[in-house]
Amino acid sequence: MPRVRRGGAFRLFVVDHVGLVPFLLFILFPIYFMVVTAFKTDRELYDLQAIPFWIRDGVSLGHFHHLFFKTNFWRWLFNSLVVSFVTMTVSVAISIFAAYSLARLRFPGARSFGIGVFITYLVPPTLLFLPLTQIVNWLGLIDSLWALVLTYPTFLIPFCTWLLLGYFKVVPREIEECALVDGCGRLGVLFRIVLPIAVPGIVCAMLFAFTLAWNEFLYALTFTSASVTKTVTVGVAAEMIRGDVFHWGGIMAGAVTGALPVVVMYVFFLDYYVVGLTAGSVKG
Amino acid sequence: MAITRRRFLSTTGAAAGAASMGWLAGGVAPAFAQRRTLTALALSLFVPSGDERLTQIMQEFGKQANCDVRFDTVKVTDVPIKLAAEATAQAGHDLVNVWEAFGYLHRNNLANIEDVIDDVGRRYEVYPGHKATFHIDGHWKVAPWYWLSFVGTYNTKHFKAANLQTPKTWDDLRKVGAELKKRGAPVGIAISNCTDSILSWRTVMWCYGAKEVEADGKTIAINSPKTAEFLDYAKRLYSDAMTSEVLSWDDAGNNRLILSGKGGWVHNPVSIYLAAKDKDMPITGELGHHEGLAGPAGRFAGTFHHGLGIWKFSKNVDLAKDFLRFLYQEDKFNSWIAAAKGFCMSPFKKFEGHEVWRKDPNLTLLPKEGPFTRPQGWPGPPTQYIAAMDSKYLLPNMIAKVVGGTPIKDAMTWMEGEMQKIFKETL
Repeated sequence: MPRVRRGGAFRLFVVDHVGLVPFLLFILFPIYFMVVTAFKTDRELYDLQAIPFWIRDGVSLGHFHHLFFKTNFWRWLFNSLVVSFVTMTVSVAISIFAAYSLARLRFPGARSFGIGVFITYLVPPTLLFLPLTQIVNWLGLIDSLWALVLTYPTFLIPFCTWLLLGYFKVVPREIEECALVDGCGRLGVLFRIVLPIAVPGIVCAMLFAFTLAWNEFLYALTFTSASVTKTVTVGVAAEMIRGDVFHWGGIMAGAVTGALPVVVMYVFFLDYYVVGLTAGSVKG
Repeated sequence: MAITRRRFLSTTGAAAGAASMGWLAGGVAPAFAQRRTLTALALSLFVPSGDERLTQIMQEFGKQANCDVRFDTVKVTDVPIKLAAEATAQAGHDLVNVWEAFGYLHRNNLANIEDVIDDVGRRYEVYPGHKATFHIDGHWKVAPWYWLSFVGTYNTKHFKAANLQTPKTWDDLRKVGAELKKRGAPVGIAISNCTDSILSWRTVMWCYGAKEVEADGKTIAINSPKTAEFLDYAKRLYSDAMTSEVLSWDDAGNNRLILSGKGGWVHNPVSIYLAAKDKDMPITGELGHHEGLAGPAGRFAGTFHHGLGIWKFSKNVDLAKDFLRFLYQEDKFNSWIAAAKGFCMSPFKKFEGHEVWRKDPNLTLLPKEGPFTRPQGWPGPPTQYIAAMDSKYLLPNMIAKVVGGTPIKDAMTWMEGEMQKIFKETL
């Protein structure tokens, strides 16, 4: 390998990172604007002489104070956490079995079933919420968090199954065959061989499932009504968009605070998320 | 013992799972052990104190009727979704906030309430607009609650700087707007898929003598010389006095234009002024209102007539009717109007002299708009066809075509065709 001079390496480093700057700006600008808006006073928010990208009149915690102490925000946040955690866990657990069987087992209709799962994911919730309302009502779950626990997996399971299907398909079949030859059963192969290898994929599915459940709006709006059963997405919209008046500071304060659990999750699992799927699974 | 990430995850995961299931399991008591609960659903009112007062009135009623009460609010654009879901499931709230064509749209699922409203009407005198909107198929289907007074909201500073008088007619507005636009303070009416756009342009359309349907509510009348005249005006108003930003506005677009200090004039309820006052914005003192504008065919005003309907499938129909009687007691309704700070206009003549509109000079003109208001769909009733047309934003889309260069005749023919499809497909 040719030796790279120190100056050349530095130049490469600079070029690489300068190239990233436009992408970073593009990705981070909405978050920056959200944070800046959340900490501005209403007077400054509507003042055309103010600088939109900076806080001129000093940081204000007024929007956060209103949101935290004059609405049910903490309850909405807690509801979102509970529903997202439970539906993520249930959905990923079911999806692991579904995806593994579709990836490895040969049974009649496996291929069309896999396509069916994918197509199910493509059906928009706007078409499903009315029939689902009837089912939820028939089960007596209207206006309870159980309604969301029941309905969120209808879009999380197809998505996670589809995602995990791809991961399981690239796990080297030879490793599983070795285990089967050594006397391990199918479930043993799944739990002892495949799952440890597929941890990055499972973490990825969990992150996406949690985020999808966290961001969900339509089912939460339709199936819950009381303030104590609302999730963050519905609660903040109901409280901060009043008639044709949008309380931008409050909306952004809700968005900043509401984004924190997801950000923490992503930071915590970042290395799993980016690690190669089969890294270390096959060694010479 | 060292805490590894694996141990942390397994412990917190198990704890969170147990807590979640416990939380979810701690649901409501079995139905037989529950007291009756009266529930109501409405849009999040622009004035929070109005919602708070209604909650208090419900609580006062709950004590008297020995029942629990709950008042839920969602943002305005989410109410139709909730109504559709509840009508489909035949379950939900007892009382629901219905406005304009939603009364006709859900008429088969709404209980008749003339046993409440006939008496209220005798005592307070219901305005004709509310009767035309909510007295459906010979029955009161929705209880009149309030209406919104759409007036001209303008920035007095820009008018003074240009030495302009407030307009009296739509043509005056075009001339005034042209001058304002030159000075960088354009006029704004949304030409986009939002409800304010439908309402404002319908107002202009009526003032030019055009209409979408005849008085029978079934005969399509959009393709006419009067509509052509209206569209020609709309095109000139857009090119002379507006900027292209109105093509992308939502319902808050006109609010933003005026509150930014950049806008010269918009057509809106007084929420802009009240929001500025509430938030102590510097622009508050510069905002002014003027009466609705007239056109060649006269002066007409669109509005949203709001009401409270009772679902037929509610288990508490009689209780809900009792609540309406309670709400319509003079002191209760008076206190709610006061709490809404003048934003919500009374549907009854009895309350039009309420002090809330007398004590602020910027609000005194609002009740005077009452006689000019018409329901959506006028001269016909606000039928389910109007609801379907508005859900597709046909009127603003026709105007958008014209300002975008489509010949007026072609735009009218397009809307006529769309209306024919709707009248054929809608039950």
